[in-house]
Amino acid sequence: MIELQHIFKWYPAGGSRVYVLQDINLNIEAGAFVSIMGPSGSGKSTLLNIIGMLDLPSEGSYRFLEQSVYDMKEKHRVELYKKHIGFVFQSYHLIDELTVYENIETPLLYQNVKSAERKAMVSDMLDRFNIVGKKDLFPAQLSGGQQQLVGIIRALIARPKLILADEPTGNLNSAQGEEIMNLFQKLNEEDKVTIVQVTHSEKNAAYGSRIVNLLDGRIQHIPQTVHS
Amino acid sequence: MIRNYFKVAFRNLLKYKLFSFINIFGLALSMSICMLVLLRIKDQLAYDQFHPNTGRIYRLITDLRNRDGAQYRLASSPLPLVDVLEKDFSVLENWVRLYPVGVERTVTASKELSIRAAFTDQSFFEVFGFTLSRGSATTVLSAPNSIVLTKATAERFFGSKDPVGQVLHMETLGDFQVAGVIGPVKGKSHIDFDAYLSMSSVPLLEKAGKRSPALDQWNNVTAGYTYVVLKQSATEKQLKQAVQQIASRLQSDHNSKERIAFDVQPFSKIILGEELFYSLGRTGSRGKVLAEIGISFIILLSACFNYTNLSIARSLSRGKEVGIRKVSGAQRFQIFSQFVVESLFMSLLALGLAYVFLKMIIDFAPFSDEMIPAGFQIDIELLGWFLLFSLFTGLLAGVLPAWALSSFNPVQVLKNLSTVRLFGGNRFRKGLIIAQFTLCLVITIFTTVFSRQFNYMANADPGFNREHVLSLPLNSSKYQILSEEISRVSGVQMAGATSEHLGINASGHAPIKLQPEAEPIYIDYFDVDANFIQVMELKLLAGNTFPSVADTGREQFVIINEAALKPLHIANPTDAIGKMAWLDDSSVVHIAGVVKNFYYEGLERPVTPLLLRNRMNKFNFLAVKTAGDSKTILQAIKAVWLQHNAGQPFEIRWLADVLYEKRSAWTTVSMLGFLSFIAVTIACLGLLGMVMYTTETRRKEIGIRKVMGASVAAIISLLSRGFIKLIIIAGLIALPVSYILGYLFLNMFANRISLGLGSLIICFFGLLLLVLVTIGSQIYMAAIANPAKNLRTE
Ligand SMILES: Nc1ncnc2c1ncn2[C@@H]1O[C@H](COP(=O)(O)OP(=O)(O)OP(=O)(O)O)[C@@H](O)[C@H]1O
Ligand SMILES: [Mg+2]
Repeated sequence: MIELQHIFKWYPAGGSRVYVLQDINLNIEAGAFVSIMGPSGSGKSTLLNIIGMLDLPSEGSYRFLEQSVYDMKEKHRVELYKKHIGFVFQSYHLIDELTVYENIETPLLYQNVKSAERKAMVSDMLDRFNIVGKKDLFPAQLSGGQQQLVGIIRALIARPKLILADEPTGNLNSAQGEEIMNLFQKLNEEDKVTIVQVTHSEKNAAYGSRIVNLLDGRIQHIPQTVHS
Repeated sequence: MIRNYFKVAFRNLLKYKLFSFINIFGLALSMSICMLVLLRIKDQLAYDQFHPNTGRIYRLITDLRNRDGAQYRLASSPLPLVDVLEKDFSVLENWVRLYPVGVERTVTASKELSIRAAFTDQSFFEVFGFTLSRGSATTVLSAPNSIVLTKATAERFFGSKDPVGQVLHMETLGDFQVAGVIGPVKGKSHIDFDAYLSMSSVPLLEKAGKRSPALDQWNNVTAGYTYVVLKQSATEKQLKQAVQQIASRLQSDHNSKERIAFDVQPFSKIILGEELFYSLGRTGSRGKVLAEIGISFIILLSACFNYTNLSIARSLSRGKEVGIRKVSGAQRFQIFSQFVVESLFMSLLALGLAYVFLKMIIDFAPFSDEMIPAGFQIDIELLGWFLLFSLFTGLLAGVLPAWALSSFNPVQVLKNLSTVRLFGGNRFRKGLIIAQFTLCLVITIFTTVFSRQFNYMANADPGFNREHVLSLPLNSSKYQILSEEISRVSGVQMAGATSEHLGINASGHAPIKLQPEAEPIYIDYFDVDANFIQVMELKLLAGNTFPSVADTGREQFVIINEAALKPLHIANPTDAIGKMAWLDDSSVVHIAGVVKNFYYEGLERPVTPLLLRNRMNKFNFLAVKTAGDSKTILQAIKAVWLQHNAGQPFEIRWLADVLYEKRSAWTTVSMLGFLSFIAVTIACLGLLGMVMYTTETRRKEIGIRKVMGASVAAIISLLSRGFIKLIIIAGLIALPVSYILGYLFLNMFANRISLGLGSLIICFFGLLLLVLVTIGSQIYMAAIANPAKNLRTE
């Protein structure tokens, strides 16, 4: 599904370059549940954003679903991205002026889903995650866990094949975090959604099937075992 | 999707009430000005749209060079021109002349009115689109002494009675018989006389000496207006060559230094066309219209700039939304449209408010007729234009911020908003703030100077008495009886008659000489009676007021002012008394007295030689000096007046009021005041937005400084320094500019206030104070905010 080859990312600093990512080669098959780990500043978020097409590398090539991402026009890239990828952030990032219902609906608006269908899809999700009662509240009226739940539902609403999550449990307590991880696992197993998450927690990483370790912008190839 | 946009727009509007208010209020204010201009232009452009063949109608105009080499371009032309054109060239299909009479007192058995009339040819109804509701177009203007009235004039004279066949007596022209009535006109026209007289009357009138010769006078270039219809086959160029040829023939005839040339003006270019001397009717002035468009556009831009500025201020909160939407799959174009829709929404709300403002301007009419065209209506079409205009405003204000906001990179904005910078540096925005305030100061200072000058002229002593003087119209009532009876009313001290109020304009201009064969000097005059000098408290330097002599209908005495002594070569006032003078080449009069100079045309004009004459039939007003201004005196005077003028509307006014209104030019003062109010308001609103932006972006910095021990005062001075600097720069530019402007303006007046640096400085500090108040609360709030809180939210 994802094939990254020789990905470099640098920022100019004075006359020289600061490398954030160096020669990243990474393949992720459909249906995988990958955790990216590494110390702060090692380039995890940068890598995730590149996978999510929110950011461009300085060098390298990227094939997503057998299509060469950097050879297409920006417009097509957004099309490809909005059809297949859902994003979850550490700090939720909901639109303050929209209700829970409207926040969840937003991606569908940009995919030109018909109004009736939109309604059915959103209601279905609200039902599934048991927050029907909260649908008319604004983000400020929700707890952090609830906000993150809404953020995840928003990422899921368009039925993406790939979920990218940047420290999704970073702002949550452990119970809430566990719930979210269970949810991810379920999505991965039952709905066959590919998941790539950035995390600092070994425990959370354990939910996945594979761990990618980053250090100073390079993938560490340490043989490791994964507990399930 | 659009619904979603509106929802967000609306919620944002409610959430950021102050921003919304600044935006909508500022836009609405400036839009109301623009709408007023739009309304005026539309009204003006609607003129003369109802004539047939407008593409082939031309007006013949005159280019004149006088002895001194000065050039004039006149809308008028000599009356014989078109005859020659018709005879010697075969380019005309039709033509018509208008030969204005001027304002003419006109009486019927029961009414007396002043009307504006013009002689015109029979072809009037063929060339122009006017139609008749009574009478036949081919004959109404054929017979001599025929008159065609407009519908309104006919109603003023005859009410609902049939006017056709009735006779009107015109003061200098004699009797005219009504031959027709112009029907409802399909639109406004620059040709809008009250009545049209048959051109065939003119030869008779000239022969009888009732009109000075004009019909065959090539030198009388201002006599009339000539409109021609070209043949289908003829071209404008041919017409132009023809009139030029005629002009060159004239040149060889008259061998003088003066030169006369003719030109043609397409009919469609008369309205809002080039500025011409002796222009006819309300053609509108292109220069004025352009100035109006310019000023209103500047004010509009100023308001739009505020919108842009405030959008940037809010971009910190909107940026996150942009990021999320992009992550949710929005294309840049969709984000862009969202913000454009939002600004359109805003401008539509502003349109609603602007419409309310416009209604208020119209109903309250602070600028009277000058600003608002008579009888206009806000119709569907105009509303359509307003709507279009508000959409234009929305785009003008919204495109730039929408473009900038939609360019946000989601990764960056979601990571750290405060790293996002819009429009690079601040210099552009600072420059605009300086420009806004410079403009404000110039307008404010100019308005102050203007109103002070006119206030001065309204209140300064003009050399005659204005207190407790009532002005009564004299109408047709017998002046002597009325004057005597009113003098007997208790509380009335004296009554004197005059042709015109002092302090406005002289009632006429006549040649006078002290020897029959001398070169005459031209001198302004009023016609007044013997009492008038005393009523107005004019000071006699020598001689006396008019002696009471039997009214022989012949002029016998005049009084001159001091300023007339020198041009008449009289050494001192006493020498003048008893001297003979020849007036108008006909009457021989004696100088009865000399009065001290007074400002008979107001203080803005220097005193020139003046003559007080004593012709009873020229009296129009009675000036009544009273002991006070009690209601009972007014009532008693009214009763007497009504005895002599039964059924007439009674218009009595205090002279002081009449002069004050005329002199203080309230129309212009209030309009300037209004414009400066708007300019200042919009600039202050913009500044407020800028302050909010700055305090918002510097909140973290303020927090850190406070944690490090900075005092509230230090923070306040840190935050306000930049703004005050901008205002001071604006002041440094505006003060000299407005000083020069004020100086040039005041130089137009004979008696003027001193410009005084004081008032300039006061204006500047007034504005500075306003600015401090505007920014003060925001800055104070930012300075006292709890630093811990500010730092935590980052
Ligand atoms: N715009 C930028 N300019 C310069 N350097 C940048 C920029 N953005 C990110 N970096 C650098 O890139 C490196 C990687 O950043 P990134 O956000 O990917 O780290 P991370 O692994 O996600 O860290 P964390 O666990 O703290 O979230 C950091 O050292 C950061 O300083
Ligand atoms: Mg990170």
